[in-house]
Amino acid sequence: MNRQLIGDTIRLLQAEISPIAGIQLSLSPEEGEALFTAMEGYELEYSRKLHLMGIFIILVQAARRHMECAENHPDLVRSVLDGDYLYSFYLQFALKYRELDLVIHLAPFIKRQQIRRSHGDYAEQNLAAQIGQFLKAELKKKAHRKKC
Amino acid sequence: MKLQEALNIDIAEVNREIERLVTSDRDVPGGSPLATRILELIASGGKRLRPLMVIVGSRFGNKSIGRRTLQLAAAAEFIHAASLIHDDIIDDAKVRRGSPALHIKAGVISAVHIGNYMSARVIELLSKQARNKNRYVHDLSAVATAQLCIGEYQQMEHAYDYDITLEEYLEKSLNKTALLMATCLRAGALSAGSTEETADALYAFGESLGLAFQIQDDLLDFTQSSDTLGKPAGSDLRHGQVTLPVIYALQDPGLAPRIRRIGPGSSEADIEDALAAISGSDALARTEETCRRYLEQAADIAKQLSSYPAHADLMTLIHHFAGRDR
Repeated sequence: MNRQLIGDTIRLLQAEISPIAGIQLSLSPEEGEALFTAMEGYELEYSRKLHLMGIFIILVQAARRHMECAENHPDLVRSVLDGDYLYSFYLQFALKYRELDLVIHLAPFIKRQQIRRSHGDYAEQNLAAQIGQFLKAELKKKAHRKKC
Repeated sequence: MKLQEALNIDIAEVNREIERLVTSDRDVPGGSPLATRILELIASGGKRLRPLMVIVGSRFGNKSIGRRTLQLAAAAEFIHAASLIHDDIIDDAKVRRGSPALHIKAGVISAVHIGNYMSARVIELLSKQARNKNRYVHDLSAVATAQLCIGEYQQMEHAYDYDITLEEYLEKSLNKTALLMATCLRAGALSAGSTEETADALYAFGESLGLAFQIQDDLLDFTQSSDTLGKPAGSDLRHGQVTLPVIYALQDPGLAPRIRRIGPGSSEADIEDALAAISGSDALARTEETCRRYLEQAADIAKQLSSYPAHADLMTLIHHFAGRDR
């Protein structure tokens, strides 16, 4: 199931990514594990999982491309550009699939990650946990609305 | 007269708003290397064309210019500045506005993430005010920046490509330069409550004006000194960028071989020879003529908006762009 979700998400992303960018996305089931865990217990529709996984993959890959940007990296130009494109593609993708609230939730997290990295702190941050927090808050909001 | 004076825009207020994007960020301590680098970059100058366009656009709405428009104007400059930081890495440019480029001062990986911070800060600020009814706000941080990247990919794909067509050149220029300007005008207008129709006309105006701007930039690379440009003259050709003057010069069978032999490993003498050949041909005059046609196109669109008092600002932009230093 998890493998299928990653495969379907990659196919969706590749269909929407600009062909001129020529970016090939990938994610191993192990890398997706944290997000699968974060999405558990929320009764999300398959299409929603697809969109959340899409956002996760784009952001992981964007950060990865920019982390490759060492002075003497042979593909430096490509890494800068791919990272830039993926960050803007993230927004386009999230807006298209009505995940603006998630964009708002993730914005400070992504910004702080950039701040840390600009200072030379390259420790991995838990993006999947952030998405999990968002889903929790969303569920709480829905439950509150029902009560009212 | 400076453009901001001709447009009656308080540029100091715009600059303060741009600085505030960093100084009001609680996650960035004042005096930190990140804050210092960004404030230095902002203080190093720049024409602030994009913020000016947001403000001009806002004059086509029915609301007076408020904080939201100013913040949008500052965000437009942040997006532009972030793209310049990354452009300098991509182009291996050592100098920006007469000073060492940011990646020279801070290192490549740090500069990449400083640029990312600027984009992420814009998203953080704007996404809150961009609920579905204000999606235009995201046109700045999503659509326009994606197009900037696509323009870069196209430029990379066509490096030293002496068979690039005029259409391919124009598409690249539209993506790299014109669409952000067009988006600034449109977003400014919608932020002040303009109609969609007016905002779309402003977008079309921005596309034509932006293309004229890019074509002039191509010309300046041939006609201005390194001191004025803040980078070596002729650097476009040196980096394999086949700009409009080169495209026109390539149509002259006598010149084409001298240009076509330029590649990544060409000698300085061969490059100087090609630059001199292009400068001595009619390619620059033809490029100017094309630029003028885009400015006329912009003027035609501006005429459609002549019922607005701010129509005069569009003409000011055209006159300013027509008179850029040669």
